[in-house]
Amino acid sequence: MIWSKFRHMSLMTKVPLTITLVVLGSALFIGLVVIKSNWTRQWAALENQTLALARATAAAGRTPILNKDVWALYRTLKNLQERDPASAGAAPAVAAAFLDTDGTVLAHSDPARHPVGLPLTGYDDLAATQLDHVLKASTAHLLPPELRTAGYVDAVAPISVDGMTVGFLLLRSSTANLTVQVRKDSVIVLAFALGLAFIMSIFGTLISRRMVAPLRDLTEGLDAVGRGDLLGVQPVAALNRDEIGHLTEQFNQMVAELVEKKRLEKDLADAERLAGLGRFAAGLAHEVNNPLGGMLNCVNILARHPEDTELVRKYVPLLETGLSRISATMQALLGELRGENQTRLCKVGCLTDLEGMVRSEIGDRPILLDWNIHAGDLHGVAIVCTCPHVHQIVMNLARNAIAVMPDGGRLVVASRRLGDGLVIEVTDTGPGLDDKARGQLFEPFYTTSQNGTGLGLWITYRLIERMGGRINVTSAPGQGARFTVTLPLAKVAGPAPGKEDKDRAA
Amino acid sequence: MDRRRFLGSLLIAAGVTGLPDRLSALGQQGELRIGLTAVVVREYVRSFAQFRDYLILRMGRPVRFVQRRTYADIMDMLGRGELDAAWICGYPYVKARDPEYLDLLVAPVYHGAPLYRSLVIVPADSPARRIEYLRGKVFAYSDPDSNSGYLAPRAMLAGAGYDPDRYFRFTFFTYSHVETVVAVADRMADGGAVDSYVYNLLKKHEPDLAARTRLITSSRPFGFPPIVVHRNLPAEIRTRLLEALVGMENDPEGTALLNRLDLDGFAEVAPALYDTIRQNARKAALPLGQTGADAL
Repeated sequence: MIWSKFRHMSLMTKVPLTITLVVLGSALFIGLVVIKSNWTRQWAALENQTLALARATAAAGRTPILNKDVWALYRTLKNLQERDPASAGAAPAVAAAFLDTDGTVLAHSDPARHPVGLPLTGYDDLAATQLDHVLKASTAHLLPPELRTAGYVDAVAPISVDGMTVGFLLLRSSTANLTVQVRKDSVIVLAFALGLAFIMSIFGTLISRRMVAPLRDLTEGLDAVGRGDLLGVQPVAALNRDEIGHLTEQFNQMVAELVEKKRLEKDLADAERLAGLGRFAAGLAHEVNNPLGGMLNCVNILARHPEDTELVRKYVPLLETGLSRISATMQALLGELRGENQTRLCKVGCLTDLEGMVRSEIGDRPILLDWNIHAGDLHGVAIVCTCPHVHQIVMNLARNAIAVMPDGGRLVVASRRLGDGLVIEVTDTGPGLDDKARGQLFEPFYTTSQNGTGLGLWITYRLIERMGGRINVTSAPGQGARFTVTLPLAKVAGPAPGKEDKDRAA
Repeated sequence: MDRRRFLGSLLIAAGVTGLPDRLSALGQQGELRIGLTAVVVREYVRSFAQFRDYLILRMGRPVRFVQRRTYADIMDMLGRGELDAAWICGYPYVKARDPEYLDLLVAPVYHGAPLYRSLVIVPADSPARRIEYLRGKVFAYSDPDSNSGYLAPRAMLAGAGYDPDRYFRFTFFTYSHVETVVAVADRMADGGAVDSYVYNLLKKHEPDLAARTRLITSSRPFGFPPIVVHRNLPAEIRTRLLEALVGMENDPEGTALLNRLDLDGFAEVAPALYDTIRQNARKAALPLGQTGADAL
């Protein structure tokens, strides 16, 4: 858990923390090694001092022991204990005794507990074993560890005169002073280690923070880049020529390049806008030119047969329709340019108007129109689009279908509801499209006819895309083509006659 | 250690006063050599340095105090003529010498009389109330030639019908009354015999040490350890020494010294003053002399 927390920490915390822990760990390790070696050294010193003291005391006791002068022996032991603690070093004798060769006490530093003239009795069960060991001693030595009492170091020194053992000296040092001293030393060593660790940690923290600071700036910079706020990115100062410095440089360069790219994109968008304007002009011309062809036909026919009232009755409404369409296009265009291209809702009437337009487009060509638009499909809903755009889409598709059937055929225009969308299908019995043609179909200025601009399907595609719809084509050579347009629908609360009238007028 | 320290300061003092360090005979160097033992002296080195300076001043001749550990040492030196005078215990004084080479000069006057007692002390927390309690215990004597530290307690036991040699489980000598007090205070010994003069002086100068012991028995009074002179000492010097000692209480410096030593003065006494000690020696069935001539 700590590990996972650690992994989620900022580098600004993690690196100093790691340095601190490493320094602390090293300092503690070294400290413990020092303490351990100090303990070993002090212990050895205590043992040596104890043994040396035992030898010296045994030598001092030689004459009194020969004279059985127990008071002089006791005096020797008393002086041993009354030595100035400062000069006694780490080995003050806490207890000492002169023993006769049979283990009788000649003098003991604690005479009240170990009366003179009686066999030495110890404080614990070890005493008997110790005494056996002591009475066999031939040289001065420390009692083996198994005969020692915890907290003490015992030494025995035989007292010999002319090669004969006349008595023994037992001397006991306490390790209490040693323990206290080592503990004091340990506290100093540990305090030093911790102090060092603390200072090193501060340095480490400062240095690592300084080293990591560019990474933090980089992170903030990358966050800003991620938000797209390129202008909010400040160049990060590179402190060193190391990996971070390199990274910083790369980052600065990247930001500069991104800013440049953004600028280029803006330029490109400007160019695109200009290009779009051109395309718009071309489309506009196309839209106006299409009805003009039909209308000129009408006018020519009427000009040739000015007295034929039958023709006048037949063509004047067509002229009116064509002109209305141009007018509507202009109105829509004006509306768009005025910024009135907010989503409008195209209702049932919009579709029924189409039939006449398509029929006039067919004119006297031998094409059978199968009009299968159902007004009921739009009950309670509306196409999320303006009527002129819907007209434009359907008319473009119908016009193309008519164009590919110069020798006559069958044109089917049908609609159906599909979920939240309205599907409009325009099917012809023309020559159909091969794969290559189908791929290029919606590209601008792609045309198969001599007098086509190649903009019709492109505009249609863009209109559908813009309103969030889809267009598909299924076709094969010699089997005609079917364009399937899916337009999104929106629910409408009730009839809005005013708006609908306006739409229709447009 | 105390002895060495004492000697050391004596030597230093001798150097300061321009006197030679080692003089073997009075006849040659004119130096009066006075023997002392640790039975008397321990922490009163300064007092004895003053004592010596006083004697030098009053006698108009060099004086040296010679200290040895035991009375036996001092007595041997007197016998060999290495000392001209000595402050010894009554017990060695009454011991027979053949031929006699000592004369009794003076005895200190302590609390109005040239008398003192032998005291038996025990550790302060000891349950012992009488010397009988110490049977089978460890007992500390001062010096085998000391009346108060050896003879008197043994006579006390012998008077009560005990064998002093078997009465205690273990005995040892400290060769100093003060050391005996230490031995008892440290419970090295369950009891000890000390000089009443030294014990009272100790109470004054080392009350903490004295407080760790308790008095249980006090002997009858005995003649205070006397100052004796060798019979070979010229009469004139002997008289000067006697006058210097007896006249001490009339001298301002002498009075200060006496106050320090807690003594009233020095007085000429009859040898009969030490008869009680002589009796004690008999009572304790102890030999009165190496030759045994005077025994019983």
